[in-house]
Amino acid sequence: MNYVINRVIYLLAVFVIAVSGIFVLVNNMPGDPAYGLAVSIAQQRNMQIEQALEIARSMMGIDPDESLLTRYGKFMSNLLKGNLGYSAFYNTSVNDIISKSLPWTIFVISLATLLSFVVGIFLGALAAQKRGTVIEWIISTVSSIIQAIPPFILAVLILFVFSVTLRLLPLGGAYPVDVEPSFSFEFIYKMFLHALGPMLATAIPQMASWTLAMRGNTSQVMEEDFIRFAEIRGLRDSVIAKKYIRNNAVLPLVASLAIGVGYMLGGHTLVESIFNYPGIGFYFGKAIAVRDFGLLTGLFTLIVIGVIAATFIADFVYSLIDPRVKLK
Amino acid sequence: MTKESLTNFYHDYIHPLFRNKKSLIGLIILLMYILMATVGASVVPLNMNSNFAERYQKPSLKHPFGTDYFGVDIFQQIVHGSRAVISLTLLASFLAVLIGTIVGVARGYLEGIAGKIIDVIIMVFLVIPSFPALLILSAIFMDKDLNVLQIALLVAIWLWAPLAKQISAQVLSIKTRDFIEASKILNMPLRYILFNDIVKLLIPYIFINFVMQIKGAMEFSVGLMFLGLAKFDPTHWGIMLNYALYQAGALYTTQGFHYLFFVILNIVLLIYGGILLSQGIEEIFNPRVRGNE
Amino acid sequence: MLLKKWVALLMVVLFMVSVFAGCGGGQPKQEGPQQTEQGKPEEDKPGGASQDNKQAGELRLAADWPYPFHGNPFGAGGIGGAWWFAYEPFAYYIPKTGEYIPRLAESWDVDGNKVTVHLRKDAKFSDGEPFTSKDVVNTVNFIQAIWQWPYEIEAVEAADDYTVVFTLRSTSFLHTLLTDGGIASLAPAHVYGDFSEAAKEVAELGRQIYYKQVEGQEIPEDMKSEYDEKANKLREQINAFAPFNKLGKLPVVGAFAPVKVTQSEMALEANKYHWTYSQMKIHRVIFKKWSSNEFVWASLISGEVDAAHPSMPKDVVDQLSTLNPNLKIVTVSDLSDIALVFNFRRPLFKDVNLRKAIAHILEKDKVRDVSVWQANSYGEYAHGILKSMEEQWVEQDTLQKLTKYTADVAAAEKILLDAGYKKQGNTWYQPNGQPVAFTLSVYGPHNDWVLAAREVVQQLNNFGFKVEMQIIPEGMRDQVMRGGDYDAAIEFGSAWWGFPHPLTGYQRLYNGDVSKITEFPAKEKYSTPWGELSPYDLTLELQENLRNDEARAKEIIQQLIYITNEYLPVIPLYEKVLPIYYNDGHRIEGWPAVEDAVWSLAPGGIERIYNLLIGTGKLAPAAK
Repeated sequence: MNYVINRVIYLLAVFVIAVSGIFVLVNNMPGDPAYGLAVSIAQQRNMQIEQALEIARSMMGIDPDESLLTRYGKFMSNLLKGNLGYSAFYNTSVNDIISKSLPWTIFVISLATLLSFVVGIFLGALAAQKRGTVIEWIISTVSSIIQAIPPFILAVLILFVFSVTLRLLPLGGAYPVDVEPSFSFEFIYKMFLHALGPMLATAIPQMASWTLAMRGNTSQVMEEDFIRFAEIRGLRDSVIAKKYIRNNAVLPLVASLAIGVGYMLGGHTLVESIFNYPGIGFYFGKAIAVRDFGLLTGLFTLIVIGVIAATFIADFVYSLIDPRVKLK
Repeated sequence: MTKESLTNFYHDYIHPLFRNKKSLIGLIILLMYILMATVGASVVPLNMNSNFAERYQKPSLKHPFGTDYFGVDIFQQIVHGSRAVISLTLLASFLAVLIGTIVGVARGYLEGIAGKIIDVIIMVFLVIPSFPALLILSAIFMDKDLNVLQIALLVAIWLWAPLAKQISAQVLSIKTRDFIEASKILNMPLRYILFNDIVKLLIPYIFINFVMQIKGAMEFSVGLMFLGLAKFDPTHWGIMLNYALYQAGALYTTQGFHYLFFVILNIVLLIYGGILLSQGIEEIFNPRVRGNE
Repeated sequence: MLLKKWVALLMVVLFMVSVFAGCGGGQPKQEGPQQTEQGKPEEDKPGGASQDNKQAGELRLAADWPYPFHGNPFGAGGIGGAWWFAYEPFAYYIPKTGEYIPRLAESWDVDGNKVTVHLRKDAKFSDGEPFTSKDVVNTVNFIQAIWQWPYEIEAVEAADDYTVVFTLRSTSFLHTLLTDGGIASLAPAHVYGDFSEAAKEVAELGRQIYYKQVEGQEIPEDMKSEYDEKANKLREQINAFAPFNKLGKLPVVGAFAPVKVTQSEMALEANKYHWTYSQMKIHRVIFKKWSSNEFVWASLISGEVDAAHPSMPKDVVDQLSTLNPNLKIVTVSDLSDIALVFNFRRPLFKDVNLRKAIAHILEKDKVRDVSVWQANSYGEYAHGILKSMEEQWVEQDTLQKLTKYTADVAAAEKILLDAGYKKQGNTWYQPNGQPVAFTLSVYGPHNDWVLAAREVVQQLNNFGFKVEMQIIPEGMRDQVMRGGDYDAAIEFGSAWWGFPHPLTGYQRLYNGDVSKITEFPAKEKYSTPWGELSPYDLTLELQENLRNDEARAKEIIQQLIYITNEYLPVIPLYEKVLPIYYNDGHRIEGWPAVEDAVWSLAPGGIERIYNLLIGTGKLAPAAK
């Protein structure tokens, strides 16, 4: 119990420092928040930028005289009430944007994580067991090469191949506008189709790292004394492989699984922008581009909360499933 | 260091690298690029004059990688761009490893409140999403006319934390081992314990991490070029990639395919070299992982 | 064992996530006739006959809009690309013919500063309410209250139900008054009635403060604070009101109203009460999110979008035409040019000889080829009149007087040597011994500008200047340019947006956006064949004489042409064009011929063309 309290205080300190740091960083960012809006007004309404800027400024209701400290105070007190702030560019609360976008990100990320984890574990274990064979060589070489491809290049290639050239996947969006969200087969099918591109772009690099990590862990576990002992005891190979090796090799990975999900929340920006997928990553990219400081701080805060929660859960889960680790 | 310890170092750490197939190939790839970055520019001339009529020429003897959207030789650009890419990447990885090691070792060694504070600092850098934070930081420093070292430092700030966490865990576990206890009983100075015992055990670990950071640093450096943190450099691979993908739309034309292909090939090959080397090192110093070769 | 567990877990999570996403990501449920009407046919399984039916009479375009969609035209982002479909100006103006096409106005009379607009009597909102002068007055009050624009309108009165009288501060605002989509129909009185009084009050106060400010008078503190308080209150109320959220629909006077919006798509339905409804063959418009140019390229290839205007490299266009033979292109002037602009805060660029030399060094057509291959070439002049408008405005007589800036290295060298510059080795040095070195800044997200900048840098370096290129990061353009934090840059030079007239372009150069970033000394006098003249004074005079004394206006324009060409406040590189790509015969047919003047309506609101073509019954579902 003492441990839990300690842990909570520690994470709370991390949270406050991280969020305050982000707040200062974001608010020191150069650039005019009204400019992005002004450009769109000018283009749409056929006017000179100068005039559009004035309109944009009054639309956004920006008060440039407010001090950083006042804004920080406001932000923190709002945060205590569960209010992540206001987006000037979208003219709505950050909570509203998150409630509309976070489900999509979670949808894609959880699909991608599960897929990559299951396949990665399988391939990694396979590679470790087939040591020295062509199978191992292929699995590890392909995984290493995939790891070497920056994820955004992979995303562009996937989009181009599947959506543009082969036209198997739709171009952007979470579901078509003429299909009403419901439990109909059509809606769910279309929703999956739309999520497939960003999902693959997220899952493939993940899969490669799970594979390599699992292969490493499995090889390591296979050398452990208790495996030797089991072999001496004459247990069947398949039993050893499943019960002893695989379970013990997977355990450490489960802990990184939760943390990985947290990180992906932040790293999903490029993928969602490339696929034009309406998750929080998309808004993140947009917020940076148009200097929407309110939205930016809010989304950062959300991700920090997500990562901290994931870390906490990971510690906890790990201590539950691994008898060797005891909560101090 | 004495001559003897140098030979020892060679035998312990360098020689095995040539024996392992993966690390050997990785080394060759990396050396090739380092060579390209150091002497390449003086051997291969660079002619950036655009020649719109000769754009998108297929690879040939005259143009080993073909020509780009401007009709400029791609190979020349890759060679001249390698210096900026590799220096920033290596410098950033080095700094990240340096910071990560120092903070990690310090955390592993310090007890009580000081240790807790370092814990919190590491964690803060872990929970802040790094790439967006880097973008913002770069925007803040954009008009400051930074040199390579400063840019590398900006990149490294967002790379060191995971390493520091791992190292602190390693140190904590090493610390409890018998021989460290023994050095303590023998009343050896703290400095000695730190460097001779712990760091020695960590060297392979740090080495692996240094190479692995190349991937992250490379991705960041390419990303930064998009944003114009540094002076625009048309031969930087990140810029070339941006040109090929977005400005010239090379994906959407059959004749522009090689443009994109060679830029991506070089980026991927460089990172792949790093990954191979790190895998090799891991196999050498952590024999349990070693595959049958 | 373990694997099976994971599979089971996967199924559970998938199910839960889809429930979660289905509820959270969807639109707020709206009840209304349109919903049920359109809901029906779509429950049919896609494919076969029903698919074709569904696509009949549907136009698909690419645009941007804020999401979550607030449907509040006064809020940030407004209603995005639906703007010209949902709101109508008094008239459309076709730059190529100089013709006004009446929309909400039947006609108008101008008498000094008074403009009387006679409204059309058959205009109705999409909820069936008639459109009257009350709505116009209400809208003007609202936009003045919330946007603090346009204070050029001093007063607006409804003479009767279909007559509105405007009192303007300056007649140069007339064109904007007639053609801006925001002035006439944004705030229907029957929707925004509750806030009309407050809006009127705030607008009135705002005007008073503005006029005092312009006349250099002190503004009383209590007036300011009263204004701030009332304006903020109104803004909050309007933001909270947002009809699309409150009423579930957006009553608009335009031909189409947004009915369903997601982050990636927007559906608009025809306004049954629109005066062109009976002629429409297309009753539905779908917008795809314009997230990036590449995205639009892809949508054009696959035929998912019927028309769009992204900039595209030549090879990509060639490729697209082979992949999709239906794709046609028309290019129209964007009414702007891309120019090399100088920062006159830097002593280097104060020397007109250097600017002239640069004008001779640059091979502008080469720049155009790599940047926007479809753009109009500027030829040898730099006179600030858009190429496509040259014949109309530049007199032959004037042209004789102008320096021709042919790409000629020898000429450039001669100018520099005469001015005391020296070339040592490969580098040119200024008379003061410093090398001719500067950076060229360019805004990164504008692909074509970056390409142009790269070529310009290359050409200048080949000549022997030391030029480096710097990318201005996304979101930073205004700050860098306005702050004067650059040496030279690629920017819009002359732009005739708004009122397509030389006055607009020269105002930009000498008393507007461009002069603010370059700080070109426009108030100084420059020697011309007409004597010593200041371009700043000339633009002011031109604005005054525009309608009163046409002969004098013509003369001033010739003088400005001369000054601009000889003193080079900017060096124009090429006239920007909008390439419009459309899929002819795939889903839609009936596109006008390439030379049709209607295309010139595109800059600053391409949707007006589509709207016009649908309303006249020209665009129709393709016969298969």
